[in-house]
Amino acid sequence: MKTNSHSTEVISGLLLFLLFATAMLFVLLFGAKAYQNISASMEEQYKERTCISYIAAKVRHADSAGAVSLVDFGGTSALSLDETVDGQVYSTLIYYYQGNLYELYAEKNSDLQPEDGFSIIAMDNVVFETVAPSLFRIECSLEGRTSEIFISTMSEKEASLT
Amino acid sequence: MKTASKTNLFLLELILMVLIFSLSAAVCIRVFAYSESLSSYSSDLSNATIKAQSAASFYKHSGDLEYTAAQLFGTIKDETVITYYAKDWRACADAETASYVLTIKEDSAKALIDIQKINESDNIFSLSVKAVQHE
Repeated sequence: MKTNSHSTEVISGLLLFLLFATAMLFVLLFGAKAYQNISASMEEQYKERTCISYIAAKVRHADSAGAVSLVDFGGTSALSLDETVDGQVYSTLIYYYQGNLYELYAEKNSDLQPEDGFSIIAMDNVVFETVAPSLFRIECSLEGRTSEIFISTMSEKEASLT
Repeated sequence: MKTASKTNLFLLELILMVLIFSLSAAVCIRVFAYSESLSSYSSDLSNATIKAQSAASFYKHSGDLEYTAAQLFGTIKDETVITYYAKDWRACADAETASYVLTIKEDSAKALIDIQKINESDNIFSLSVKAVQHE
């Protein structure tokens, strides 16, 4: 009788411990899943947003009459953001070159080439297009994810590939 | 007698442990669930911002709801542009499979752009934009 009672207590103790271990496992798995989801969401946002946000911020910063245009730069389409400093016109050229988004700040119409710029971020593709005068479409692709944004500028000058 | 007392003490200890663990687990699960919903909201906000900025650009550029609706693959109903987006934020024509809706209403030379989740009343993102007169 005594032995029976003792073994029941041992079994109930073991069952309780099993319950504890199972619950602990579930909480751990739930936490891991939550972390995985958040990490995936952050990576997705990085892929979709970083390039687009960077270009959009640069365009809005430089936006003034005729300052934003699309130009041909060494055979690649580049977004040209012009500014005048001490009577001299300087351009910030943003373009896609050899798997990277590049930026180059130089005097307008200088002899510099695409490889002279500095790399901002690695991308699979970046497309700059003029949808209508002063309305640009920018598309960025990275690892199968593509996002696009349309930006209307204050510039009155027609943006065109020259 | 001594053995029974020891086992009871062990059981009591285990029960207490499970109780404390249950409380901690409840707090952890709440935090995990909140972090997931926050992450989902942040992702929605990012995408909604891009869509609203694009819609604002179309309206700012043209000042015309029809042009804006055509560019956004939307429709016009009661002088309001309506564009539906699927879960992956691609424009879709079917309201039943859509997860998000973008609306643009004109209000005294301004356009009010709202993006919200279907069946939710709160806006994810709102924007007010004025059309630019191009020369």
